[in-house]
Amino acid sequence: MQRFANPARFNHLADRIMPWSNAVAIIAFMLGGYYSLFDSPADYQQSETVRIMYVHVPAAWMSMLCYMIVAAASFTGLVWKHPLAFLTAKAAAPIGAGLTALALFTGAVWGQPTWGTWWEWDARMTSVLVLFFLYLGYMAMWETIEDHDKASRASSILALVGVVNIPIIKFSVEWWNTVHQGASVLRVGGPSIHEDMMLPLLLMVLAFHAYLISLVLKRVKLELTRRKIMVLRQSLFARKGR
Amino acid sequence: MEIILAVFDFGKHSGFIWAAYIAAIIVLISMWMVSNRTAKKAALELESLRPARPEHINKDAEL
Repeated sequence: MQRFANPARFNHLADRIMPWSNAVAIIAFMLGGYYSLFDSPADYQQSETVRIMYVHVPAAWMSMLCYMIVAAASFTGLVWKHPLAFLTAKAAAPIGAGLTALALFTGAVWGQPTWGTWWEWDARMTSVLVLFFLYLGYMAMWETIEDHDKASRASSILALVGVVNIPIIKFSVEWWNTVHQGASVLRVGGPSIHEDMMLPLLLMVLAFHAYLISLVLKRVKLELTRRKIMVLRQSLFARKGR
Repeated sequence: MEIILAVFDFGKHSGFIWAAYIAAIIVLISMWMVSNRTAKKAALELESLRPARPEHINKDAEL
């Protein structure tokens, strides 16, 4: 693992993975989109609105996965002090924020016809909103603290404190009475969802996964380039000062 | 035309379904495009700085 923490090796590996993850994302989005909208059945209670699930659930899952990436990379950076770990966390955060915003929006759009309300301050929705604010806070720390080392340490501590919110999101529907339905895929006793709905959902989850891999790799490469620019500028500035 | 419209019609909740899918398309594509554009800008900036750099600096040692 340590081997790939070398920026040059990482760039080489990312260049080899990205064409494949891009291709998987495009194919899975096309197939998943078709099955979700035109081939999957309507729900007997929710009717056609169940189709929102095929974008809402993957977006919500990826928002949590992305936070786990941010937290794990922050932990690695703090313990092993490798800058690539901090850059990975920094690169993943805006993607996580975008996916959380998408999960919140599609949830509201699904909630209105299903529950009769756009928003309810219940445990699931509130904890996802907290996740969105954690992402914003994390990104704000990188933007506001000028010193790179201080920014990476402070934002990593915030990311690690915020990781407590992930199990709260996952189990909120079991620990409290919520408007939001309970888990129907990742649950004890297996999925309770019909296979005709499971196929498009899995395709969309695969598409979102591949998309996330591609975008995180792309953004880590971007952060590496930015870091190189910063170092070059500093060395130019130091030479001019001499 | 009516046949095409009928395929995309999901009854009285069509607006909600399309709003969710259009939002997903906008968010995913815009994040991709912004990252692409920023990466291209950064690569150009790096190239413009590179000639001024002393040759003995090791590429991998920059971090």
